[in-house]
Amino acid sequence: MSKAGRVIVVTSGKGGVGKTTTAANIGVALAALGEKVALIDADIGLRNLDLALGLENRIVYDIVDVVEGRAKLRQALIKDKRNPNLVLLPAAQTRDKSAVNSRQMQQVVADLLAEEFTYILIDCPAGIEQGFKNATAGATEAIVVANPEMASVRDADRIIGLLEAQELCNPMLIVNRLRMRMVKNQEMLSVEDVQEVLGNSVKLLGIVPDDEAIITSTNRGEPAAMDDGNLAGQAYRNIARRLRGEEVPFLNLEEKNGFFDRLKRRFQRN
Amino acid sequence: MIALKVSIGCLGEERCKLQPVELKAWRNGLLRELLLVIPAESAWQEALTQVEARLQENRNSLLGRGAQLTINFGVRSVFQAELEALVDWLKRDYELLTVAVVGTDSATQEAARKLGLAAYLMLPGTSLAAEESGTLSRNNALYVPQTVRSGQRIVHAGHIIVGGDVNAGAEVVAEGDILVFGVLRGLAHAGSQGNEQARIIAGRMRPQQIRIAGQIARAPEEAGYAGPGERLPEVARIENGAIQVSRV
Repeated sequence: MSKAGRVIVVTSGKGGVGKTTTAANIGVALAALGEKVALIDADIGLRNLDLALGLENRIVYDIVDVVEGRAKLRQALIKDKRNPNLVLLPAAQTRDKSAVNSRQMQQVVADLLAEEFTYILIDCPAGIEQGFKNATAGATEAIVVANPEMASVRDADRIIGLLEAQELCNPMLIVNRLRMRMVKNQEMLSVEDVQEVLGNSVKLLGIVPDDEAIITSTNRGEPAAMDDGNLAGQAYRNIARRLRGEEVPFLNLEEKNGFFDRLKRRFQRN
Repeated sequence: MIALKVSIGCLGEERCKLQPVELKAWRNGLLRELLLVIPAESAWQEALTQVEARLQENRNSLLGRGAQLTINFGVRSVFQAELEALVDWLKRDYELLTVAVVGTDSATQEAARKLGLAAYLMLPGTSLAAEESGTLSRNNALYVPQTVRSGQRIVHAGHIIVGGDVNAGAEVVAEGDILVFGVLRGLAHAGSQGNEQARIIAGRMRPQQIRIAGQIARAPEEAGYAGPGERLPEVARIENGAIQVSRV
């Protein structure tokens, strides 16, 4: 008897905090670890997950085609070009979020579970309206992505309240785009500041530093988690391992010791 | 805590006249709104049929107004799914926006809160016969055992006790006092019907705004969000005509 797949929605409330990047990178990292992963883009009308994976030219059918019966689910799923364990169910670009309702979303998720995917990640759109309701409809777990800044934390709090009302309790938290130097200078909220507002019921799943590699990776359609050379990618790979139950210590995000840092410290000691 | 006097529905062989569903105009403070009274004794489906009948009768005066509606369930237990279906139907077919629910049952209160509706224990401003509403308020508290998150609104015709934080973007409105065990970061309005003796106590007072009766106050500007403020419990009350905050 195969284990039931996990259905996790990646949400935030606020737009632009890194939900799509997170969903893409965790998906890639999980697939690299041997899991069978399906990514659903629930941002109908403003699809981006296909771009993040570099699969935008391969879209023939999308989720609205499936829901409206023009295509079978299997026809709409696009295999990742690097790892066949990973598939994408893209959103429609020419429709909007009223094109799909919660029940249809649940059906899509149920059909994917029947295809024996071990992880189904749903990329939630920003906001709290129909798009959010659709994305959370089939999910049993949630990852809340927040940037360490007031507006994002406020919206994350709202979202967690709405998730709890939907019986999606104990969401996991990813703090994204942290800049350690600014935190040390008290110019940016720390992870502890964020956790203080969001509360103890929210488990910290990972901390992803602000990394220029993300910008290039999104533009190229090559998720950073595939590349060994950047911190953000490493953070996402660690998150994937933690999702699978492994205990992985958090990365040391302190700035590297530059020459002037060491020089400064040498003089301070005198 | 004095128990509210509530009438339980008819039981056993005692024949009783079932109260009909009522829809009437209502003054809620300064606002003229609609009140839908669904008696607790009737069966749910039967009550819904009556609601439909009442709405059809008043269709001409209701339509196109986007009127705000309060639903009084009395002792009836209403679950979230039922309440959500009812609220959606009223909005879809009659353009009525349900803003509040009155009911003494805890499941009903919970369902209302989860849907973002204000939840009253009884109609605000009502005074029960033979008891001053002031005395009643003082002995009737709503206990919220967890943090109130941004966007959630708790309304109660008595005291409110929050066993957690009140996060920024959340609203707690009480006719009586408000007691927050954790950090008050959001909006707290005590004495909402005009009681200037009402107080707000918080484990850490860092509110967006506090209001007592008709007075509004905000925290003094701090040096950036990282300012620690006071780390001890504080109480806000009206003294000499303005809201003052002091150590408990």
